[in-house]
Amino acid sequence: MKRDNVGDTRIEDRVKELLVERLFLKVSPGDVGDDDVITDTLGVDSVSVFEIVVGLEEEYGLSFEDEDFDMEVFKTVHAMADFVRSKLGDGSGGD
Amino acid sequence: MAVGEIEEQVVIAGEGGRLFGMMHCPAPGSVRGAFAICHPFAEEKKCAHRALVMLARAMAAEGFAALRFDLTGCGDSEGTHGDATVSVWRRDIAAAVGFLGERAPGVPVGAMGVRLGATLAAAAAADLPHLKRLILWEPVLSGEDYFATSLRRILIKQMMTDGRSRNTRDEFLQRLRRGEGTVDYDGFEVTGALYQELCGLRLPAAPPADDVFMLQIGVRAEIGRELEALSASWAEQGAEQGASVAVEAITSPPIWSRLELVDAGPMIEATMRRLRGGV
Repeated sequence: MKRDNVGDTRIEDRVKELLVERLFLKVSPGDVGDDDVITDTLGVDSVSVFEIVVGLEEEYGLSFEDEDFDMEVFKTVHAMADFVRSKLGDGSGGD
Repeated sequence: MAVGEIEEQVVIAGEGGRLFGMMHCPAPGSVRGAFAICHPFAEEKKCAHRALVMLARAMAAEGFAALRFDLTGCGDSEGTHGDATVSVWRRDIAAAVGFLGERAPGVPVGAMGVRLGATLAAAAAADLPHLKRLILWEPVLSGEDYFATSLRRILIKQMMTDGRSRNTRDEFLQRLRRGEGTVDYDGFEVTGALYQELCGLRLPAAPPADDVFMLQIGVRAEIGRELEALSASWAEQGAEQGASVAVEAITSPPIWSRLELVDAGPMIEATMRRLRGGV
């Protein structure tokens, strides 16, 4: 079953918070659009992606496998949230 | 620099050849300690470079001679990265510490390191009983975990270039475990020998010096469990000998991996505060 939230927090919203927190961005999470291409709007580079990976793994208890390193996963907040959902979808992680 | 302080290039006789270094000397007559500064691994060295220059200058300004030097196969030192092993680098650190002891006789000598440089400094300290102080910025707890995690960076870079990663970490690791050639780690040659020794590298179980100051640098304000436990263990073990162990957390972007300008001021100030009040 597709899960929109983990707990009371919409996954997209938590991903935005993680981006701001882990990348030390000088924007607020609310300024980041669900479908913004983050390499364009936030200047995300390979170093940033590494931080995002670690952040998502720690937050949701999931694990990125080598084959998960696909730019489509990291393209937007929405894409990252969908990835989290796909990893949690079998009930093996998250809240 | 203040009047009387000197910065000079030096050459140290290292394991694999000559090691390039920069000495930051306090004004004559004001030296009260000395530190060998051990840089991080591979690309992290480049990103942390400026912060370490600033730290060395801050140390010299307050009476601590600081020796920044390049390990074998790194920076301007002789040798290639393919010549490097953990053992070689530990002996390089010993050589740097020895060099400092000759240049600044009669004052306590310590070592400072960032990331893998911190772990190497702590490991080298086991062979250097006269090394009194260690300053460890975000030390790598396990060389094996660090390397395996860091391989992800290669995959991520491939992804950023080609849309998807081309290799798997297992491919790299199997090649290294079998001793089949080398792995191009972000432009740095990693041999099977270096990999095997990295796998055995950890922060020591026993306190590595009389005075150890660790900085955790990252997004978390609270100290990580493993580092906290190690710090407590070192403090307990060293208590009878009057050893001092402390760990602080600095919330900051990682200076060793950010390409943009990162303010290293908080880390430098925390370090200098420790030195002012240390043993």
